[in-house]
Amino acid sequence: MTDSRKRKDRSTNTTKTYNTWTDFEEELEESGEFNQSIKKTNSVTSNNNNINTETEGKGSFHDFSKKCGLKKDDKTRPLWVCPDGHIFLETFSPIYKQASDFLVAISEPVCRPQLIHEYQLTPYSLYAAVSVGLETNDIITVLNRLSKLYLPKEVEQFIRQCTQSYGKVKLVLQKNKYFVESAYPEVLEFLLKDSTIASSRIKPTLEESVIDPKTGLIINKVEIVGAQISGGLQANQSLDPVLKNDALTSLLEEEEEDTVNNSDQHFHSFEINSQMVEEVKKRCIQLDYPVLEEYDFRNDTVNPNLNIDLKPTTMIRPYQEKSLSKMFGNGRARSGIIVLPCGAGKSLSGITAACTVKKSILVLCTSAVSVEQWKYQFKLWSNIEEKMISKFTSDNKEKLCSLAGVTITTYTMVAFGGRRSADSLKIMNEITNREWGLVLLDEVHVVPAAMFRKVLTVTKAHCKLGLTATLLREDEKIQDLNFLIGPKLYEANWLDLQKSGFLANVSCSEVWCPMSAEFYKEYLINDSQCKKKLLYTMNPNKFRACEYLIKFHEQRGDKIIVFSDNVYALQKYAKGLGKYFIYGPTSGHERMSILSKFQHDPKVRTIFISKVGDTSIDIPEATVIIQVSSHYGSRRQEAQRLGRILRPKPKSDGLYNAFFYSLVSKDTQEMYYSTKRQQFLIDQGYSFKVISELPGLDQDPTLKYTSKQEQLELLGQVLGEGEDSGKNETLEEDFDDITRGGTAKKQKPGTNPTAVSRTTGGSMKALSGANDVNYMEYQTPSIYNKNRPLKK
Amino acid sequence: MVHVYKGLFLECDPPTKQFVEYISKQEHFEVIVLDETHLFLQAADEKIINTIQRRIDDLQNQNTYSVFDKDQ
Amino acid sequence: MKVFQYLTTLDARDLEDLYKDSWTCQAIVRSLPPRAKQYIFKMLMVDTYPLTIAKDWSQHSSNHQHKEALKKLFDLKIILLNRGKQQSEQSIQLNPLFQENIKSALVEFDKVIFSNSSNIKDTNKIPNINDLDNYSKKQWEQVLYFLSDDAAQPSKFISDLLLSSNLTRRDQDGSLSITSDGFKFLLKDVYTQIWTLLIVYLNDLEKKRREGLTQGSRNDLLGFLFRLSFLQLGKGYLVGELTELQKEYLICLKQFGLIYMKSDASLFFYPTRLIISLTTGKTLSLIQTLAVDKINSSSNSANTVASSTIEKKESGYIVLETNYRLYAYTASSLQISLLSLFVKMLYRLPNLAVGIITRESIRTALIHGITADQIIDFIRHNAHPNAVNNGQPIPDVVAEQILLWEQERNRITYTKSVLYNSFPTTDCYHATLKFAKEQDYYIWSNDQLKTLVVNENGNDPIRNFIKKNFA
Repeated sequence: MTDSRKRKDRSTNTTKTYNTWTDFEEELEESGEFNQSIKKTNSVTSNNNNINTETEGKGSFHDFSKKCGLKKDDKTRPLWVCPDGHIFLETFSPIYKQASDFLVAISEPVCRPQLIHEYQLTPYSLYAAVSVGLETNDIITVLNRLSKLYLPKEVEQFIRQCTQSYGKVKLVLQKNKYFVESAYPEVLEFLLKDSTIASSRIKPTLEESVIDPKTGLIINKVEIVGAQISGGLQANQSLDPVLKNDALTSLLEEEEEDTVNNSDQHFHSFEINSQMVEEVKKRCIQLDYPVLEEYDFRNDTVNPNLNIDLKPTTMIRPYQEKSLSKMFGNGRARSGIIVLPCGAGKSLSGITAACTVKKSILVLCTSAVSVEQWKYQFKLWSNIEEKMISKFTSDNKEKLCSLAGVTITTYTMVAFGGRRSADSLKIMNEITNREWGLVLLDEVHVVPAAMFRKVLTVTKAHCKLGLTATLLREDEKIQDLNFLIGPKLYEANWLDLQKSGFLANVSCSEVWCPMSAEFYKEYLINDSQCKKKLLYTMNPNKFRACEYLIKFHEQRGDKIIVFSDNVYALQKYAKGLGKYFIYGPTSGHERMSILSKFQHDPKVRTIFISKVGDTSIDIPEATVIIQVSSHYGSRRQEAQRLGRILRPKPKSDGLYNAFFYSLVSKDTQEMYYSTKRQQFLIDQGYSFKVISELPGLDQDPTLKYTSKQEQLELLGQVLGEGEDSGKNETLEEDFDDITRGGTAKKQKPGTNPTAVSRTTGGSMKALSGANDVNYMEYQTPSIYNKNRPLKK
Repeated sequence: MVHVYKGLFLECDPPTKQFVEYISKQEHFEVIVLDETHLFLQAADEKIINTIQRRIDDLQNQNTYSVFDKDQ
Repeated sequence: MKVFQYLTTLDARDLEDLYKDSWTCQAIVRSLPPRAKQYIFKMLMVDTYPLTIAKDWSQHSSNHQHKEALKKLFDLKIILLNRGKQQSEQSIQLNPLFQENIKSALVEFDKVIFSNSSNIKDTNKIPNINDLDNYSKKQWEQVLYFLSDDAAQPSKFISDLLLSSNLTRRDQDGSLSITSDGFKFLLKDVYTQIWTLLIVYLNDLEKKRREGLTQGSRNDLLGFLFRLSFLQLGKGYLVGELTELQKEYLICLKQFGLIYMKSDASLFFYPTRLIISLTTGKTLSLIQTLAVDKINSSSNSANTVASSTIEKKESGYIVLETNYRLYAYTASSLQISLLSLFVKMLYRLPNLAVGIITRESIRTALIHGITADQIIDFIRHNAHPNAVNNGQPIPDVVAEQILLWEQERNRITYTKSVLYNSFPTTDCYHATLKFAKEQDYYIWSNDQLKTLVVNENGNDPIRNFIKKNFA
């Protein structure tokens, strides 16, 4: 992509290209193009464009009062649908739950606070709807039924247009053969007119195939029954019965019933050459019939079964069940993405899916620590035997279980395209040769698109499940994700989970720390972004606020984690307050020791952690988080950090039981970033209270930097620091950790000296073997063309 | 001889005071620094007040993120 | 009771003048609280009453109410106090004019104000009570509209009135915009609103009369208003029977929605509910009724502008979320334009308006003189019952942020002043400092810098002081 080349030219030493999504923003901000590019990034990453956004800017006023007709009994209906696809939902409606489930299945949540939620219909969301089995007419009927307004024509048209071609074609891997399948033979015939697809077709190789003499297509009569999900759960049908129920229709007007097909259906298909699967997929997308990938695991007799089940003591929560029912709704395993808040049990969802499929499972993680966590979770929730799990990281190269097993590895390990060690190569070959029943992709929002592409090309998987807390990507690649893995199957509602007690009740606050006069003067004078950053981070009033909060919460008995991306600040703060801290250079042994103390030693209530804490450390339970310095406007980081304290806590008099503080220096750029970071959480229903004054702070003589002299000393030190101190931590290379750009690993004494050798100066592009090739080998579907009306 | 200056007496918080001092050179007005929170603007008039207010607004705008930020 | 408060502000001579009019007296008596009424009737046939005996009119336990009633009557100059030589000789008496008028009113009780017994029939469609109510609403809404929406075009009369009352102001570029008082005004109930403007009208009229610009007078208009309040709702009256001045007033009152006339040239006029109940001071918010009506449009026929007060809570229509988004259950353009004063509107649907509160939208309002408290109160007052039941009519976070945005604008205070430094001697400095403090010009000083800042008024006195003592 020319984009990444451009950015490449700008960077200095390392020819790092933007395969770690964070870099793009960091570069811009450090080079001082702060305002313009920020504003640009905003409009680009602002989610959910209107259907007809081209001409209208965001925030323009839409007057639909004359255009839309209000139904007589509007009070009994819970939502409004606007001509531009925007939907408003009343949460206090008696059928809120069902309506909300329906909306989540067909549209993108925009914001979901207490009383009124907003959603947006997008081509992508409708694709996701269709892929879980909802039909065009059902969608329109139910939407109309729930709407206070008569369904606008544009919306109906839009839904039809978007769902016309989606979900009509499936790619099914059955008995190790690939079939292009559809309930509509005419669609198949259309596809077969294309030369590429036609050339991929092979004669049916299965004896029991029934051929339709007219079309030459194989006919299957398939019974669609919800699969039994491991744990004894029954997968739901696609539409909540309430929405089709007569009970409901007695409340609302009678409309023509158009039920989802539960009955037997005829499916037509043709077999294709397994070598040409990618090609065919590409072509189908180009022809506007993107294929849904489904895995008929129950009828897969070729691949060996994996004897794995959830332990009887394992409890699945309702929202986990719901998400999985979308995945297994029609008896097959659908590929797609499940979105659950941090700390809500994504892993368990993945593991349950694994236990349902019962074939070989490949788990892809973002770091070595994550690999350990997954293994631990597998053993915790399921009855899997030790010998059936293998890890594959730069430190652990375990052989795969011969027949079927669970392999846990990192993205970087799999995507690596350079020369491998002999051990590594052997295992990699096993991985690429095996037919995986299910691939679990952890934290998909973090993984760069290029890496994904590589990983999914190299491994053969029947079904792919992406797990993430947020679909937000700062690099606008979200649509690629959809087509590489699959549509969004389910997205949980943070506030609902909190109300049900599955997430802690967090109080979020932004503490405004006024800059001291001298610091501010220097801040204004200095042109260097890094220096500015250092100045507002080391603001003595911020330090005092931090100290104050730590004292306050320690007294309450809370466990506190303080985050600081900036290493200079980290050390200054931690040493200044006499607390332990962990950052890149901290040895593994020391980390374990500190974390253990944090967990068990009542005297160690507070620890300071740098960026390593974002992905690479298994941080134990905490009740308070204080952010002293963060990564610019990263909403993902904010959500992730919040996730550290989201694990449900025992309620303390029904009030807040977890606290999240962001310390910002007033009147500086930090305010801007802070607000930006919070957007995602605010849309989920959280609110950031502003604390502009901490009571008693100014009078407390025990806090540091009370005297002007101390402050000036600090200022002197800060000014004396070089440029680098203002930058965020650049962590030492850890091969497995994708957020570090994964260059070659330094050789550790004692291990095999055949660590991966450096190739072209550490460019990720080179390492993943995709040097000059466009990482996107196929066009995004034409639905994303600007020419198409009503499209995003 | 006692020096007499007519002008405006400013009272504000320390960071704002720093800011006003900072822009005084750019916007061509004279300030006499009194203490942490007070400044004296020499020969000041409506125009200067408006300029200062405008600059402060700009600064606050810059430091405020809004969901509806327009493309520059 | 706004009208009576207003009357108490008039001076004795004006009141005398007013009480020459029988209908005024009657209107006042009718609207007084029962106790005061009784007192009047007690003294109706008598000349004076010794104060000491008057005390016995009420029981000891209700002394407080007794005093209050008397006070009211005193304020209105209905009762006059005769001071005797001693305390014990004080007596009270009814204002003779007042007395006369009430006596004759009692006797001639079927005297009509405006005869409607002529044979002239109104050829136009006779409006029924519902029509009259709707008409009032519409007219008054226009007036309010003008306050919140620049696009509305009011008549010169209204426009001038709003300017005089300081509800709008003329900006530097000549355009009109709403003031802080204007915003407060919009939040009040309709009767208060109408009275506010009527009072301005009355005062303006009086001013013009003194300047000889017009024949009309405040008392004349007041008398007319009181007469109107005795008319029957739903009945038409001949314009022809009015005086020329009264005809002029009529046109103005029409714009307030107090009178219905098909056109300015109509033969008949119809009083609306507003004018009739104005002097009885019901406090029903017309805007509330408007809102409720529109939303309950299905039950239109049974709807009348209810004289019963509707609970404020039930008619709340605003939902404000923690993400700063605002949802208003309304179809009223007026309410929406009111909200646009401080909310960035995004969507308008038949029964819902959606917007978002941003720093910009609040700042625009603040620049127009609306205060953060007013905005917060407005939202709180009009919160949707669901929001109220949920515990937070307005989320704390948003309320605080609005206040913070207001504070942002007040970071600097400017004071016109004079600075002195380079004092020749320390004594000179200290003496001047003392002088400045004594004379109350002092603003700031610093002994080390030997600098003194004083109010600009103090410049000359201080310079003279220095010259005199240290030249």
